[in-house]
Amino acid sequence: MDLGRYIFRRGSQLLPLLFGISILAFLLIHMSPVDPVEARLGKEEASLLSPEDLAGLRASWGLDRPLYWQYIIWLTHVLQGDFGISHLSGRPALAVIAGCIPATLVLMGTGYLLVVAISIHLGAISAKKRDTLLDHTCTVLSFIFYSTPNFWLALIMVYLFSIKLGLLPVCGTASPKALAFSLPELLRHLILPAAVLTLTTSPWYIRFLRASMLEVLAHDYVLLARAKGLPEKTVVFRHALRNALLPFLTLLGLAFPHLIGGAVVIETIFAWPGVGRLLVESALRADYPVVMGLVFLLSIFVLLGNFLADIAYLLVDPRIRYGGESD
Amino acid sequence: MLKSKRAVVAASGPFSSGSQNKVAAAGIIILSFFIIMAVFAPLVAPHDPFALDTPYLPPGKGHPLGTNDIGQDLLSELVYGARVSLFIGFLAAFLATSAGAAIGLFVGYLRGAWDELCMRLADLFFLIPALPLVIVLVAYLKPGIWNIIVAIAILGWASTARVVRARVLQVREMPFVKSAKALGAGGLYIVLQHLLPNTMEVILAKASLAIAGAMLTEAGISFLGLGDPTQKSWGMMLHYAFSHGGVINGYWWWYLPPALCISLAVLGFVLLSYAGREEKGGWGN
Amino acid sequence: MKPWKRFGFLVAFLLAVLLAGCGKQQAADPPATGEKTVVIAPKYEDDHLNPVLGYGQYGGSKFFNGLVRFDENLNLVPDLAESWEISPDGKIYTVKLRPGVKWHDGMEFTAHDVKFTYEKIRDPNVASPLKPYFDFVDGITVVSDHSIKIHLSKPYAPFLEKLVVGIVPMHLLDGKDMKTAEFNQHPVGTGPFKFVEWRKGEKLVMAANREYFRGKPKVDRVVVSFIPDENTRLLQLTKGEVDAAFLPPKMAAKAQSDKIKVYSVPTGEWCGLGLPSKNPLFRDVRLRQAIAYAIDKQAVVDKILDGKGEPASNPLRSNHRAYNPEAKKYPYDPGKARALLAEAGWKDSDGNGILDKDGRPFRFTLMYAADDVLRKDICTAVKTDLKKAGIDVELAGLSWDQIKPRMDADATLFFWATVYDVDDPNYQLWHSQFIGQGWNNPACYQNKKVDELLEKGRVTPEGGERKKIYAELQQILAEEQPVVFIAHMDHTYAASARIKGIKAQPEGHSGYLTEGLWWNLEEWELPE
Repeated sequence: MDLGRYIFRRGSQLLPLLFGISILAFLLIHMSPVDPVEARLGKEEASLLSPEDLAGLRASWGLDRPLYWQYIIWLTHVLQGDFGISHLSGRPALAVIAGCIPATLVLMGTGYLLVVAISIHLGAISAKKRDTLLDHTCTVLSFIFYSTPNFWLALIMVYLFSIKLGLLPVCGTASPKALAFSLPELLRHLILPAAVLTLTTSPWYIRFLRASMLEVLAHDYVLLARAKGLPEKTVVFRHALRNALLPFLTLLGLAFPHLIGGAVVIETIFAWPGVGRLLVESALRADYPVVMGLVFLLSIFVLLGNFLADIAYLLVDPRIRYGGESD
Repeated sequence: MLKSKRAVVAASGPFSSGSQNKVAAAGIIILSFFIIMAVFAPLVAPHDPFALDTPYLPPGKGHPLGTNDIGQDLLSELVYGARVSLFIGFLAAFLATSAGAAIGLFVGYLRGAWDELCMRLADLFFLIPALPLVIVLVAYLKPGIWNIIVAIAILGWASTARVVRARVLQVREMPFVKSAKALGAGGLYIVLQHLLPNTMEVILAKASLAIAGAMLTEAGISFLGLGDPTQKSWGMMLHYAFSHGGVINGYWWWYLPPALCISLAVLGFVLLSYAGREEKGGWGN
Repeated sequence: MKPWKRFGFLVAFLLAVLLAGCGKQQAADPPATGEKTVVIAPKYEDDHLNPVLGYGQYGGSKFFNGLVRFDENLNLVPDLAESWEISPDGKIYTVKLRPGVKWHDGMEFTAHDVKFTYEKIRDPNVASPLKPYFDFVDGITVVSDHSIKIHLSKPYAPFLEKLVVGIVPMHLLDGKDMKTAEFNQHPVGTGPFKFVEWRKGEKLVMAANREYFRGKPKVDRVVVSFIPDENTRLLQLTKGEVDAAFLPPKMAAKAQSDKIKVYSVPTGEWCGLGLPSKNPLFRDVRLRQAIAYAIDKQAVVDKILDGKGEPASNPLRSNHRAYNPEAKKYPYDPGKARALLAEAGWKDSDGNGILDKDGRPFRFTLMYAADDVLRKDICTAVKTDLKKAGIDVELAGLSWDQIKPRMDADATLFFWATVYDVDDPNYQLWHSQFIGQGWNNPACYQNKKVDELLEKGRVTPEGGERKKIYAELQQILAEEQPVVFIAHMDHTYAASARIKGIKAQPEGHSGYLTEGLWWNLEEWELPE
């Protein structure tokens, strides 16, 4: 099988996969015991309205139809590009989500880049300097940060850097009093949340890369390169690192969902107006269109990331067969 | 999808192999401490964790770690908290790992359409951001430790299934399995007699990590206020310390111990998994 | 480039960002124009800003005005109305409107806007939560541009206060779908503040309306900052990034300093144990009274509410205009509780500390909304107190959706509020016609006399006679304890001491932007 056909085969799997996710999510969300009408109007207000009025509201959201029909309606909304109308705000769900994307991109993008950069470097270095003080420090720190709950780290850092030292802002993307957007202001606000996100996510990848590196360093061609008398640095970073990157590439596709998990908590603490918070809030208040839209878009993002990582994997290591079965 | 390569990551620890045992010992010591604390909670705890006394007492006589906002003894809460937190961790991890292991073992052995289907499903679950989904699940199933356990388990089986399957793919080609097959051994027999023992190491390492992960997830859920308010887990203790001004007031005896306990217990499981690391290097999903 | 060097660059870059960030700290301060900005951090963020859809208590808000408004003591005073007249039969409201009021876009406000607003509220397609309040409206006639007549199908005394709902501009909304209109995100009103910007999840910015008919607000700009985590909110306040914030009592107490003042806002909110009469256990009034005596309400107020509140024995609080000080009270008295229980036949015959009768121990389940820490604390205290009285309470922290179907059988901890007219929500809470209808009458209370009083209170015009009716209602409810009332609560806010002109208004339990501390935002001052 050649590369093109492999890409096509994998690519064509994405659509049914997305379809599957959306059906799963749809069923899950509609299992919610939360009454969307009560969530929208408030418990007491809803109990004052007559049953006919409540039924009218439900009907206007299409909730009186059978489930499969509701799903079809949702699909047509996806095709129309608005993802339905948010129950809570009355705006198109896509617009609601789009409002949260910039903030999330800034935070998660920074977190992602930092995680990648730090893991590659620290992973490679601690593998190369195996069993030195540097390696051990790195190991111990990884263990510590892995074991620390992220919300806890966040509050400690806020306490230290914002309250005690007064260096950094407590929360938000800008000072509430700021009138216009300013990049330094945004960066200043970004430091703490991005740091917490990175510190709690990186350890796993550092360890992973370190282990991959060690495996590769033990391989024949590395021994050969060493035997040829190539400088150690060249051996590690030219030969070993490139090969150790292979599994890491796939993992990069996975880092995204990993980061979203952390982002929910971090966005709540830092009052960061991002997608993670939106997801949890709309899920808790049964805003079906927004939750569905978010799940759908996130899935696309994650699946694409994974897909691209696999392709990159192939490009870097042509030894691998393109077949689905590779045992 | 490229399966085999993903799983092949080599074995080599940061500590020389001699210190491997030390790491395991450290993990075991930490965990035994907590397990003893949990099992003998009524003997260890100085008070009933639900009994009310004067609120906001600093550490002192009668209350070695002081009291919380409604006057409950913090040390007792901490001791009983070990029960709840470890219980959630163990059970959620047990469910997730055993389901994952069973799936991994059987589809790895059977191959074919089931394999394809289960692995696609595993990919799916592997890709879903876990915490938001656990939150959504808990919100829909409603707070309560059983629901938290179920939610964590539902979303946690995939990584074990993948790793176990990858290992099974290696083991099934080994001579003893082939000869057993040639002798006409049944599928179930081979899975239980040969594949399971040879993947046990992976499964245990995975389980240990899963416990760590479940405990962190529970803490996160509790922090967001979705925990089980009738149970005193460490996560809930932290939640109250945060939401009732423990952190703001600088009552370190309130917010520090549960956080340390969570971190230490998680560390213990991570060390254990690391020492037994079959799934090399990757401790995590 | 060598990886080591690359790593060095990365570190250097991060340091540079850090320094740039720290160095710019001063730039974040108020702009040189000398604008006075107040940043407030309320409890939560609204979904939309349209009063017709229920934005703000009764649809009031800072962008809009109703025909009437509440003053500091919750008396109704004219807002967009200049004066009003209610016909002797209580069915026709004639309202004269204030002339010369302009919308934020410069158009003139007229009686047509009023009619449009009320008709939209009554439109079933809009599904306004305010619709029940306008159900008795029969017709609305525009008499002239500045005069309007509202006809009711039957007298409904609380109607006047429902007219606080913000009036929306017909010229911008006519023909649009009220539920999805862009207007809901970019409101145009007549109120003291104009809409500037709303960044969801972050902040809502409003600017002073210089042409406001009751005079320009004293601050130029209000930023509503949305901070979900209470700890973070408190930190922002102490750092000076936020000028005023809603905080739970214990956190507010912590914020207090020479720079930050704590405001205790009395609410009409009460908490109490709903003891549904459909459960035979709770049918004996002596038993309900015994429970009321057995709970140390003062301790609940002191320990759990941090002293912010007062013990309750009936649904009205002492600051309510219709409060009846004569109604029976239940101070903590375990002896009396025991006596009442003994009278009702409950004795501890097996000596296990739990009372029993006919071989059945006195045991019941108390449900509460698990997502609320305060409720859990109150229930824990109730459990402890009742245990001392020999009653075994089993706590069940559940979701409202789980509580709803079980409300008829098990006890529930409820929070309700009577802030404004007594009719709301007491009519729905105690009238037997509502038994089994969702959250209405959750204690399944059935009392002919109470039904009668509630009906009479509805149609009797405000005044001495109406007060008497509700005084009697309180007497009965206090005596019968269909719900064992525990405490009335306060809300706490903390605000920078620089802000002058804050007057707290009693509020309900939601903390809307028109209530409590925020109600007179336009009067706040920031002296130099």
